[in-house]
Amino acid sequence: MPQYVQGLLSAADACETADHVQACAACREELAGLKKTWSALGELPAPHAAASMAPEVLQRISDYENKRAGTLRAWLAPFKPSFAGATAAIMLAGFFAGALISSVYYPDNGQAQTGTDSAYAGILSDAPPASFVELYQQTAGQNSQENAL
Amino acid sequence: MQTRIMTGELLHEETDEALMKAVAGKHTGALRELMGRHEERVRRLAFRFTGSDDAACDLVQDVFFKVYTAAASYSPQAKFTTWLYRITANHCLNYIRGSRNNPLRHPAQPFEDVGAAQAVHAPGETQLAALEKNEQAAQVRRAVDSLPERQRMAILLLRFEELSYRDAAAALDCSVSALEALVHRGLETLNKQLSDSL
Repeated sequence: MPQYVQGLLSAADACETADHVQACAACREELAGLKKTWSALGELPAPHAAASMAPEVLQRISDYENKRAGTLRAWLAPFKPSFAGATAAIMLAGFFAGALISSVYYPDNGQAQTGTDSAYAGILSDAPPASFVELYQQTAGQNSQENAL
Repeated sequence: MQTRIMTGELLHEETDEALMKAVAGKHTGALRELMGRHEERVRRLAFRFTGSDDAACDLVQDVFFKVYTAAASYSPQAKFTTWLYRITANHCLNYIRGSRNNPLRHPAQPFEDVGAAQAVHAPGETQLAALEKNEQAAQVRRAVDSLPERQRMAILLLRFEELSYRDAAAALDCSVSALEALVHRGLETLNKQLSDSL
């Protein structure tokens, strides 16, 4: 029925509804009420004239984009070249300091290593030929010779 | 076409759908053009739904800001106005739900104010006729305000925006039969409330 009032029905459906309404008192009454209500809705006032809100919307968009760009900048700040250079310098300094301390506290590091390798070589003497253990023993032997030289 | 939009040439000649593509590429000039075309319909619907000019202005801002931020999700296969009405309907419904928790937020204008503005400007009308019209407008407003939000929105979309049932159903994110039920129930309620005064 509302679609009939709005004139949205097809010609055939509209004819059928009109025929029915003529014959049915209850539907006739309902239709009259609907027409009145539909028409009365036209009394709802329209908004007062107002200036476009475009400047406010564009300002809001500008703030939004600036905020987004600010967040991205803050996230990328640790990756700035100056920060990366400082980080690399600290890491290099730590590496050299560690090497220096190691050479002071363990001056015979190479000897001790050779000794340890020899001890392990004894334990692993039963290794089958061409195995990884044998390869390790050969490499360890070469290292010992180089250290001795 | 896209290049022309991006360089700001002849924006007014482009379709809404082409402008939306440009908005998705952060082209604010295209958004301004869309606002020029559709701001009034958003304001009209928001005002009739909330009964407040201030709320309507806020909603216009919210809706077009959403159009900008959600532009990438817009599919050009869909009619722009249907998509816009969907955003507007969602914002209006959320606004009313939010207002229930905050009754001080842009209360609806007193009916006398709304009607008086029209009564003063209506040409060729006696003072008595204007007052009667004002009173009738107030009764209609009260009746419309008393409807559940979705019924109210459905009726406004059909009565004032003249959408088809299919487009109105898309705006309310429901089926056409569900929309028919909303309209039927809403009109029944209005009919009962206004039957004495009409």
